[in-house]
Amino acid sequence: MLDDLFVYRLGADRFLIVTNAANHGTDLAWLGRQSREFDVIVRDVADRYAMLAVQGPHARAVLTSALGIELPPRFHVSHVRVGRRPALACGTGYTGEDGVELLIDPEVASPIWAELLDAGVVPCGLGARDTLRLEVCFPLHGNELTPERNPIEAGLGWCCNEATGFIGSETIARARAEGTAETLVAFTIEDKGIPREGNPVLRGDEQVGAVTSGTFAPSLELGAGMAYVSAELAEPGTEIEIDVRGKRRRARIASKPLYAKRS
Amino acid sequence: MAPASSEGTYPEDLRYHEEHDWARIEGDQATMGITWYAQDSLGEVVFFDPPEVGATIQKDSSYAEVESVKAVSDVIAPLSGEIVEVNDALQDNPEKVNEDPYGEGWLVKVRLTAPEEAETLLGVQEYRKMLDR
Repeated sequence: MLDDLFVYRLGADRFLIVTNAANHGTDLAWLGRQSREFDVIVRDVADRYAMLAVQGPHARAVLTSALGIELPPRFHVSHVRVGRRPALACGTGYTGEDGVELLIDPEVASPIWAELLDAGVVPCGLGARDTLRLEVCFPLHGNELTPERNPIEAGLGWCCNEATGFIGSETIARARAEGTAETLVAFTIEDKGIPREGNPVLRGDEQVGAVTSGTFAPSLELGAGMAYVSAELAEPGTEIEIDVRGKRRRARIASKPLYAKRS
Repeated sequence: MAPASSEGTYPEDLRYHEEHDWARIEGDQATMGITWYAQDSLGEVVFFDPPEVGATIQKDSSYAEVESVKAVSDVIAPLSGEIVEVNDALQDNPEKVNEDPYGEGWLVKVRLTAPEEAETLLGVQEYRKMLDR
């Protein structure tokens, strides 16, 4: 897996891809190479947009009153005006909560940011965001999703329709048919300790996997994370140990997501 | 900008280590913890992994870990000695390290094996100066 990203359909044959910032160059080069075989034009528009993600149960109410714009339903995108400039409002995000991502003109980003803070929006750093996505078990590029891993072992088989014949579909069809040696699981620490990326997962004296993301989960108030483990250990409830810098911490495979928002 | 030391508190009666630890020396014993600056840099402390009572600790070496949501930090011993008590209350309330770093947020009590090492620690004025550099 090269990246994980959102694709917005802006028109019948027009799509906007929002890459992970760190992968933008490689993603663009990859799309450019693939595009030669197709009747398609790939254009880098990254410098035309700034993105502000407003997330949380009150995100829509705050945005509607602060900016006076009509918001799209979840997983839809709508053309709006923000700061008197054309903008896109996207019903997406990576927090597990409802929310909106605004793609706006970079020139108005700073005043709009200030306006949103005035309306009561609280800035959230990437560390805090990471605890949110981890509690709802959203995999992340660079942690759970890497070029060495496939979507089946990452639990993303539902995203893949091999019948469409997309690039890589044979590999995924094979992984789906044959099963994978490892699978991505969520786990919680039973007692004390906070797992971190790279910690070995143990069962007895055998290493059976490795932690891909770990943190203190604020909503659960305990150490939690995700790990790739041998597929036969993936059943929720299975006891494992996490080697946290030389200390063995008792843990248990948990059902995903670790936290579900109250509806 | 205001000097870094103008935020937070640094009691007069403590000795400070440049790795942002403090020691309250009473006879041949010392209570140890991390400074206001250290807890502020870490953010909300969510876990304290203490050493065992009886363990020996070495000045300038790590003797415990404090963890915030974002990161793990080694706690550096300002003085050498043997652990005689750890602050067990931090197991359930690690946020005391943030709320009261010199009081309820103390980490360990140590019987000093080289009390003369205290000479090399910083006084409050020196520590504040270091923060402002």
